[in-house]
Amino acid sequence: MNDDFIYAALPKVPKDFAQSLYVKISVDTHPQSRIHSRLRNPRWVQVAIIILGVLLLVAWSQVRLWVRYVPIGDLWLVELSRQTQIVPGDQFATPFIPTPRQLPTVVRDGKVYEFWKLEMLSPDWIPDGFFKMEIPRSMNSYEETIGLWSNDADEKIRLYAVPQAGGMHPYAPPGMYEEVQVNGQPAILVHGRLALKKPQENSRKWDETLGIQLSWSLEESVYTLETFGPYVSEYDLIRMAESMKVVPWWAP
Amino acid sequence: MSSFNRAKAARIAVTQDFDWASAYEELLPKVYHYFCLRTGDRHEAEDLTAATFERAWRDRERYRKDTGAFTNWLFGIARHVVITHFRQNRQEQAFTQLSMQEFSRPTEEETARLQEFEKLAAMLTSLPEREREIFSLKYGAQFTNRSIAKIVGLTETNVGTILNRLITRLREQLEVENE
Repeated sequence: MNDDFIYAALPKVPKDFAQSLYVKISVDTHPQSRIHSRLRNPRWVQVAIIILGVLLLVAWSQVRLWVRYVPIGDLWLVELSRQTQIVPGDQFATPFIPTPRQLPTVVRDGKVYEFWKLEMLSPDWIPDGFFKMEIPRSMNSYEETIGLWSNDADEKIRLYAVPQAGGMHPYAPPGMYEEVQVNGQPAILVHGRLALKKPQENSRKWDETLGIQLSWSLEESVYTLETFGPYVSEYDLIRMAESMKVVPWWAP
Repeated sequence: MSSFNRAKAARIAVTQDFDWASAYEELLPKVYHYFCLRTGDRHEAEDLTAATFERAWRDRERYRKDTGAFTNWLFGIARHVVITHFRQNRQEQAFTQLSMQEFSRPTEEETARLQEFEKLAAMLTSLPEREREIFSLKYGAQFTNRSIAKIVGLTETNVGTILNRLITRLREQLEVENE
């Protein structure tokens, strides 16, 4: 088949046209078109949808089990969800197992007692109507209970301390804590606490009506004043905290 | 460095995984000739060639080496461009006689080539759409009969037969005109 006459009739590509077209398509890199092009590619869309799904799943799980550490002054507050399964069992516990520091000991009447310090801090002012109570031994666990006060309505105020390093941190859900000042130093005021778990519930819920807690840092320890009733105000707790002074451990 | 070479260097830096410069040099004449034979108009062929390469460059991220040759991908774009072009003009435009005065100082060889092209293009206008497409793919895009058969949905034998008859007819017409 002699088809040379066809090739001989085909016009040559004009050089000016070839060069100008090359310059035009080369200079115009269309960066947006590349993104648009990738989005139009079904494979990229599928990958994007999968990644988005995974991110949403992770985000959802984080919202459900939200735990993060918030620095307030020298303290770290554990911010958690209002409804959490982190606390195992039904006891009043912290959201994680703390590492207790080896407490100092003292010998009294031939027995070895563990005490946080031989000298301790105790408030010099307490709200009207409150009187000091004997500290039940069951209250000394990870934290060292320094004082316990009650009034005729059986409302209680408890003061305890933990080592700042390795001790448990105050914890609260977002919006349930605020930064306040104790003698000009940052402190954390927490409204409410985790309620006891009901038998039919899998998780524990935060109840902001269950008293208030005030935590502040002092001499390598974190002191906390907590109330178990609705009548003690946050100003009373701050005033108690600011009246703290050193007393011997055997002081009444 | 000329603007052409600067652009070439910039482009190579952008798409290092594919030798666009070589592809452009190789495929530009084929695409241009394909459009020349499809439209019978060199100016339209330039416009459509430009549209094809611009679109190919714009969508270059969509080209996947694993799905086929670059030539096939580019001519897929070219065929879409020419179909859109004809659809916009409602009907395939008839070949219009080109005035030789439009071209700047053509050489004798160029003049003779253009005259031959005008005759050829005039004869192609009478061809049915499918035959003209086959003819353009063969002598413009320089596809093999097997590739053309896949594109137009015929057997390779059919394509060969159609082309053989076409060439014979065109050669006879051209000989008559030259007499």
